[in-house]
Amino acid sequence: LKTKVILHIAILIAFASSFISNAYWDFKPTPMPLQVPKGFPQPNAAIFKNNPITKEGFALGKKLFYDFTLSKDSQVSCASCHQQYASFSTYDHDFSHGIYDTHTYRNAPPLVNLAWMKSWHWDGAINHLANQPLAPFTAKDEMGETLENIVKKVKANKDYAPMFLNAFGTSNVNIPNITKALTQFTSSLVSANSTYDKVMRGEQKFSKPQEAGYTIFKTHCNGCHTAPLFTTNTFANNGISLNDKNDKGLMNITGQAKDSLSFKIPTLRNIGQTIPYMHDGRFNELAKVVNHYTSLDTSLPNLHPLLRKKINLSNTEKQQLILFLFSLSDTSFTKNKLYYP
Amino acid sequence: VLRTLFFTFCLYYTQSLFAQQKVTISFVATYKGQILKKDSVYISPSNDSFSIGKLKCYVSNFSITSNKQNVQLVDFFGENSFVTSTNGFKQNKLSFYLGVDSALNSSGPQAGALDPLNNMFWTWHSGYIFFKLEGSSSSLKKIEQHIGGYKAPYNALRKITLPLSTQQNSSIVIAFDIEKYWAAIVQKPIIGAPSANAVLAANTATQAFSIFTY
Repeated sequence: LKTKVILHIAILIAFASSFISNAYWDFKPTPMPLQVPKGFPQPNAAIFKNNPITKEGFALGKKLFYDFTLSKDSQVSCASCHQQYASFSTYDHDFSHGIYDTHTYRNAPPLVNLAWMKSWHWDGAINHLANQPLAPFTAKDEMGETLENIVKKVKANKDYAPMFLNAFGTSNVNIPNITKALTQFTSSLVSANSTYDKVMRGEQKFSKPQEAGYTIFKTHCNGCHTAPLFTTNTFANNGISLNDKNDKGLMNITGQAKDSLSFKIPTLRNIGQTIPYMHDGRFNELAKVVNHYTSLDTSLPNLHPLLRKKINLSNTEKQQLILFLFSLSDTSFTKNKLYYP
Repeated sequence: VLRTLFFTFCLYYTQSLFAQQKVTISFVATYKGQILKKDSVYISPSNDSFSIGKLKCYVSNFSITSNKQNVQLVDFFGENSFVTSTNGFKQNKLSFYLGVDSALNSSGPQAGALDPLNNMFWTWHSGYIFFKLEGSSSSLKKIEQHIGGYKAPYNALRKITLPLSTQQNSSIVIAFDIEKYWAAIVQKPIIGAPSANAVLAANTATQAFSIFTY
């Protein structure tokens, strides 16, 4: 009789718990926490709250990242505009290609060290890394799909159900879980193994011109493109002129005139791979970027205070600076097999 | 099997003994004392004809419910009521927020009422639409107000306090009066992002809520 009672209680517990959480019994994802590179600050903890990176979540996020069928015309995936060899930017394109031969209105930023940011996009419009995928999913000039259809397509693809089960303990496909998985993948895109990093770790030495370039960088650039992230992840008006798309950057979001033409300071990591430059890709070589700063009108309104002082560099110094910037390329990142589809 | 069912029944029965008192809160849109009908044509306070096809809002942090964080999506022409547990009506007033607090606006996509699938979330500019009103009028043409914003200076989250009869009630109906809100529609019929106009509209909206009595 005793065993019978125990059996009944066991059945009851199993029955009740299946009602409560619809939980997958053997749900044990493998933790894959973010490795914080030596010298880096702590990442933005809000990204990982209720969403720790696991091997299974990362794998699911990666599959979604490379899934073309999620776009309206099944031609565009996240990876279309965020190509690994270009440090997850669009190589050699000022604007990226969206569905039906559309073009985006901004240059695709590289996806590098996103876990250290507090806002995303050139104008900071996105307040949480997990909210970011919603923008390209639905933008008419990117993937152009409705969120309803994204969920439908993921549900219809039989590959996904076991992956959701392994990643989240439920085969329930919904927007929170889709964006959580993508966040696990994108927040894992960490680059900290460039020549610069090797020099800092004492494993390698700069060439003589790079050494000189590094000194120039520390004098004129490090205030905004602060090492080791090579960005303060804040916003600045760098004196760039208004483009024909009337893109006023941060002001579009805040509505404040003082934010006119302020854009998110981009990281310089892998800058050799993220050609062309600026929010609209207007400069197709680094020399033009450097010339922009040396020929800047320092009296422009709203200009970042650090740019009020004229920057004077000789042609040799400009070359040295550019050679230093190339030392920020990290091929162990752009060729990391972990990120391959 | 029968015994298992009996056990389950006992479990639910025990739970219900400890359950708190329930209250149903419903929302209705009204115009000149009558319940506003979706897409019906009315004569506006500014003497043109108008109709409303969509009216939705987020309401949260009800003072009388035991779960303060509770966020509900109200569709005035659809799912307009919800049942919630309460610790009773000790006070003679009821307060709630029109909108979603800052923390929930910046925590990433969530399930349930806050799921972005409900089309009450700006995908291009993270944040919830607190209040959505769509329709048309003969003089204003298109009316499309998407009111939201959780950051200063355009924070559109508003606390609404309404007097409540002290006698216990298991059902509360809250009215949103389009007549009282009309000034905000005329002032800016199209609002699509956090802005000074959205803040003004949110201010007007707080004045348009009342306890509805049939």
